[in-house]
Amino acid sequence: MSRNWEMVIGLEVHVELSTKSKIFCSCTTQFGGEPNTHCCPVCTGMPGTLPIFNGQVLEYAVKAGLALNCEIERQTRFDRKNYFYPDLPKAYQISQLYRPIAHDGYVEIETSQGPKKIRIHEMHMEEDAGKLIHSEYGNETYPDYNRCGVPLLEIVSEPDFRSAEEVAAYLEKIRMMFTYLGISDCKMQEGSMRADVNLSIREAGTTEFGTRTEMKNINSISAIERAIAGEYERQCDLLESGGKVTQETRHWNDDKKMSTAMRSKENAQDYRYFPEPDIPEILVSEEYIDDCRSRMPEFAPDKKERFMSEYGLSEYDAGLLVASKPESDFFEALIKGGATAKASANWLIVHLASVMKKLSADINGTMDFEDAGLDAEQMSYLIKEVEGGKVNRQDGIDILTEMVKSEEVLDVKEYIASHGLEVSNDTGALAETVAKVIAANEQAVSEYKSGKEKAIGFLVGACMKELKGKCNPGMVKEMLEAELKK
Amino acid sequence: MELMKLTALELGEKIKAKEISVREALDAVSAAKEKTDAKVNAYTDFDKELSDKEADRIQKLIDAGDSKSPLAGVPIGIKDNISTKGMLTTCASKILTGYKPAFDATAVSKVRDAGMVVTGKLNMDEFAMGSTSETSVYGPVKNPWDTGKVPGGSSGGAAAAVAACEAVVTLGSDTGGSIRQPASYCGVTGFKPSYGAVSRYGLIAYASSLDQIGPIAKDVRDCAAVMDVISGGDVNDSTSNAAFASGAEGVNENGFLASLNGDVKGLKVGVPAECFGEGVDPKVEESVKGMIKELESAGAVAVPISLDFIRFAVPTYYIIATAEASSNLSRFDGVKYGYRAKEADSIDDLFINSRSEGFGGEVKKRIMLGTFVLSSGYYDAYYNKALKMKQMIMDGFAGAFGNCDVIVCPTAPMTAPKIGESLSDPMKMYLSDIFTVSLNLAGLPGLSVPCGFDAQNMPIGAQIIGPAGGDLKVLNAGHAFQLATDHHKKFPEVG
Amino acid sequence: MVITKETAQYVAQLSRLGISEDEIESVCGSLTQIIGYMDEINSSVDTASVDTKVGALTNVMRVDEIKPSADRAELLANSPEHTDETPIVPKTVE
Ligand SMILES: [Mg+2]
Ligand SMILES: [Zn+2]
Repeated sequence: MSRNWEMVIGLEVHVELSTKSKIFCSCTTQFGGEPNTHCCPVCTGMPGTLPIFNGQVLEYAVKAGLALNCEIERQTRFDRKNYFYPDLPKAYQISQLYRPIAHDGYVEIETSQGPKKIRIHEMHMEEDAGKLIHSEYGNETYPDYNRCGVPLLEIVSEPDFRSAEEVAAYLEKIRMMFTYLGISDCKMQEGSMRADVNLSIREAGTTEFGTRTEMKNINSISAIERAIAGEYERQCDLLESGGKVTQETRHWNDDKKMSTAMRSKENAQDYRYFPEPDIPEILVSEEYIDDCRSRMPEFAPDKKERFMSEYGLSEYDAGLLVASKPESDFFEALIKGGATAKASANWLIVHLASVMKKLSADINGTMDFEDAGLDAEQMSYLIKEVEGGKVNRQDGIDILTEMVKSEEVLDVKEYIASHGLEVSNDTGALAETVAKVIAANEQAVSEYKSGKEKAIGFLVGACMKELKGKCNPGMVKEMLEAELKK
Repeated sequence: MELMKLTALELGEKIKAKEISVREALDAVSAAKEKTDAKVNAYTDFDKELSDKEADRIQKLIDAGDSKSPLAGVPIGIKDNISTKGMLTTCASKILTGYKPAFDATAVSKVRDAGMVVTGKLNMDEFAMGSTSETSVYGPVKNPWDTGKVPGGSSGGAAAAVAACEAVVTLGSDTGGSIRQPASYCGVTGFKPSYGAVSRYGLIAYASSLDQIGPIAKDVRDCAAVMDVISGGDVNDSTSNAAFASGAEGVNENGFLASLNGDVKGLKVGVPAECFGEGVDPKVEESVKGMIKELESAGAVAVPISLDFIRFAVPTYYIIATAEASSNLSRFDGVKYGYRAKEADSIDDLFINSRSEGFGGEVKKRIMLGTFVLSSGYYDAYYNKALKMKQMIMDGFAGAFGNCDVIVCPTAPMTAPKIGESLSDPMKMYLSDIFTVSLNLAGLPGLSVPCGFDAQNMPIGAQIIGPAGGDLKVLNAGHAFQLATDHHKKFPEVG
Repeated sequence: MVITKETAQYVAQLSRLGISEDEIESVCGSLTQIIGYMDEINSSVDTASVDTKVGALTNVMRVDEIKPSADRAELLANSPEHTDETPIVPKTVE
């Protein structure tokens, strides 16, 4: 930071919870769908309908609150936030203001200057709003209420961030914890994790806050980093040229790399919050909290340490595996299935990664571990077969590709048999081939005999080709060497 | 027309005994409505085609012996703010023009399940905001006892239809007295159950924490029979309370009706000093005191009590009710249902024009009042303070019920005023709710029973109040009174 | 307290209601009357020591289960202006 201005950032992060049904009705929370097909009279705000709270949301919220080191509110309740917008069919959002489910916590992040605590002001439960589809040509907007009522947690931090790097680390940490808790998939590109950035600047060394702006709903961590950099520059330029920052909501345009002020017709926001009369209060008992606490998972940093010490993985490999909870759990399932830790790690990090990269390129999209839909028992069998020399490595990788592509669980043993991929152990046939190859490749044989050990590779390859790959290359090499040394 | 003077239970008995068919009962209501409603204006919609089909369906069930309810086959009218599937439900407001819900309110599906025939929708103050039934987009309802006077409100149509014998029994809603006060003005029996006893699902909300659906009928037994049908916990209403239905205090396994015995021996009847004297019409006072005497001669014991919080019940009510209403009525914006303004270039124009053109004056005023008491800077002084005063009212009633079993007082301080009189003096209208609103704030059951007539032969109603969940106690005291008197058996000559 | 024109217009805007110049006087008048009445009574009630209590019901929740959503045509049937898929409103962005 060349300039003498310090940035001060507070974040409001919205996370969609991965419950099956919505927070106040039984419609599906599934992303997408034809407009207004995941809707009912309740979530479209039909007159006379009433909200019924989904208890799973409470459990997820308490777990999230514990992960954020918050105090859990023992007597929580909902409040109405009133405002008019066509994506909000009741014209109020059922949210929490006066007694949010969790408050006064912190998240510890790693920064280049070492660990830092970002304080959490509060975290509350609320319902998501719908989506507005805008006509390309005409003067029309089309409300789609499918997302209305999808449960959200909103996490409000204190203004503790001093750099974009810290913001990114914080978002990554929340994503890690929430995916480990299994309460959200935190996919920014699908909007299941969204961040509003409140940013102000002040002269380095001062303690008073400057006037802040708010940038809403930026949809990737890297875009947030760019938005922060852009807004920081803009505010610095403003103040240095004798101007003033106006408190306003700004829209970050990631293509143009600049923000623009949103027009605000309303004088001030006055949401007229009051307690939601349609939902009785919720008392959260000590037992309930203890039960949630006892079911908290081992988070990534601890798991990484354990993978290094228990399985002898490198820090790099362990780090790659724990980046995804499902993948790290799968890794341990492979070991349980009898594959070695080293081979299991190698197959996931190297082979599976390359298979998925190739398949993603084919479909021109992205795939994550869960999209692979792998069965641990089958994959662990495959690893054992390949490492035990019973199936060729390349054949093994092809089988893995088939496993990923297949909708159903692929029976690896059956697949190997039906495709004739079993490496031959018929030493008679092997010896015959070895003799044939030696006879047909005089030049390579003489090179080998004159000390060019590399020539053996060519001969192994020739044997493999002859046997159509159905043999163990190690065994072929051994037999060739024995034959040539005679 | 004699058929229309029967109570719902009497009619149900005749249907069960095959003395008359369901269709004949329905035709009687239809004929009475044809004859009388031009003068009373109680109905906003009467769907003969739909109800004919219903009647035939139910007749088959009855013939097959598949209908247990004593009300099977009995026609019932529904206040226009209670959702009826495929039938207009407009809250008597322009903003809900043409709205036909895709679902039945829980109370409506329960009356259908009991074999009752939903006939039509009943007129009311727009969005239940009023005490006179004059603000309806369909025009004012007239009091059958004197068509120059109001029927009370907001369930004015539901009460007037029963009084004029153009409905057998009806469902109304009560947010601050909207069942009891019109029942009192029209000389019929109206019951507001404990908050939570009847599901609010499908009742278009005015004030969610105060609204309650209840019956308006010719007598207490009919009210109890309807309560047996509509009360109970509901998975679609988190504020419904299963404990207040059958199985509630004193209610036997056969329900409210079967538990009515008219026995009030030893019942302690609280008589609140604040509800008599200044501000109360002397004839009203006399009649209500007459009822207390009657209960005493049946073995009850009158005890003087104090309800000093009555003086702040009205402002408390108006703050809470209008605050909730301002939020509840925000969804009417011209997008999803009802009236939409023609001219709108922007989304805000659409909202503002639809709402300005669609809502009437009283509704707009209450929305603005509610918005004001919730707005930044005023929340604590008004809304938060009102919540505390509400708590004081609840505590006050709890204290009073330490000394008595039920409380008796006038339902309203005066009999029905002339049409037009209250609208010109809103404060007077608001104060006519003085004895009824505190029950809604405390969630208590309240019954209005006819107890006499004033010099102009206008009906007077007495209110019986019970503790939360004490619905049966209240109904039973009213039943005891009706066993001994015949005020509830008088009918007006509509003309 | 007296409800000024400014307050009345602010509240009307929050409520998405339009008040014309002709109406504003009478609206201010009736709001002032009612609020004045509230002020008068409220100021005579001491609520300093009152704590609101938890209601009769608590923890009313349902299990996380999907039930079929409603028929879209039925949901849209009451909308005064709609396509086969959504209601229509004036464009909310430029
Ligand atoms: Mg929020
Ligand atoms: Zn829904």
